[in-house]
Amino acid sequence: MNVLSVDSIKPSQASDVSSANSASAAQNSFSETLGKALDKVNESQQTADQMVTGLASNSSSQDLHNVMIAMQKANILLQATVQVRDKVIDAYKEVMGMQV
Amino acid sequence: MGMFDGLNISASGLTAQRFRMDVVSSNIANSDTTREKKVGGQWQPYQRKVVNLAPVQNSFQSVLDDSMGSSAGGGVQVASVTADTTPFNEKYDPSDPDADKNGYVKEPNVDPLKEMVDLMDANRSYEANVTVMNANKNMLTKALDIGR
Amino acid sequence: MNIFSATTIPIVEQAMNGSMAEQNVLAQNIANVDTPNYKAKQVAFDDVFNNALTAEKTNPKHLSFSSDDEAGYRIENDSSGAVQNNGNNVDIDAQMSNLAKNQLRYQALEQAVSNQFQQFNTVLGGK
Repeated sequence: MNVLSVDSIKPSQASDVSSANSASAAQNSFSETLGKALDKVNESQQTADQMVTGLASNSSSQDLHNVMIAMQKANILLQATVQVRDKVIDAYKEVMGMQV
Repeated sequence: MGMFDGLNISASGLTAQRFRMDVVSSNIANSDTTREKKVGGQWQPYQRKVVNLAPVQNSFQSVLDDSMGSSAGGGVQVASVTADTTPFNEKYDPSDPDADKNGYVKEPNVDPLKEMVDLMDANRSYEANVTVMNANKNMLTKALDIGR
Repeated sequence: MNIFSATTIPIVEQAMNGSMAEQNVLAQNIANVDTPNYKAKQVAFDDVFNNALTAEKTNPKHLSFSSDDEAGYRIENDSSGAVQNNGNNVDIDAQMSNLAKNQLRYQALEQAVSNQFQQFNTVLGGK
């Protein structure tokens, strides 16, 4: 009577690892993208702050429209970030509310 | 290169033209002054004053910017006020206390017609500078409306 | 990932920079309309010629030909006006008409960029 090795019944480990890898890879790339996006938003806020400081201290080498455009850009990036945050939180709540 | 450079340049133009008008007023007011200052013990009549303008270039940085084509310039300034060396007019009036031994009185070399032309010229330039300044102000005000 | 790079905002901003430079040059020319020996200036906008004429630098610290290769414009001498007796070649009527044109151009650019931002605001559901 041949005893089948238990090993052969186990599903292939390779595909398990790769799917685990792709899940964590997807997670990593999303958090990377999110991190980069937040850096961009921070950068735009800092640029706008610098320009406004230059305006306030009358030491700016930029024109007025440059300052206004930088402020608008920072504003819009911030709004976009807030929207993304809201959507992520909604998605999280929805997932947590699922009946198991 | 700041955001109010244009306004500063126009302001310097306004100042220079107003100064020209002031000098014209002074010339006309003194068109009969026979004793302005003593030269070699003799009283000399009023000499017509002339304004010399020059572009503003007060630092190496501004000259460098100019030649590299990145800056419009610094405006205009009054370089000097010099006396006009045109010979004085002479009038025959032996009864005048300022008459010389031949009875001739030296009068200021101010020509009212020339002064009037200068005045109109300065006035026109002044108005042109005001127009430029208003245009600049309108542009800046419009820039404040970005995004609204 | 710059969400503004696919819009016309960078180009319009550069055009507004050029328009402001033109305004400053006009102010300088008119302030110097009576200055002896003053030569009028003008703004030349970027074109193929300027792009071709970039300095070959043997050392990164060397100055390039134009003050700012990315500025898109360059301030140069304008020799189109007739030279008057005192050496001044500012044509005040041409300057005035350029002033009017430039003002309208700047306002149109401002509307364009404002419009873009308003579209973003609409998409994001803001005010």
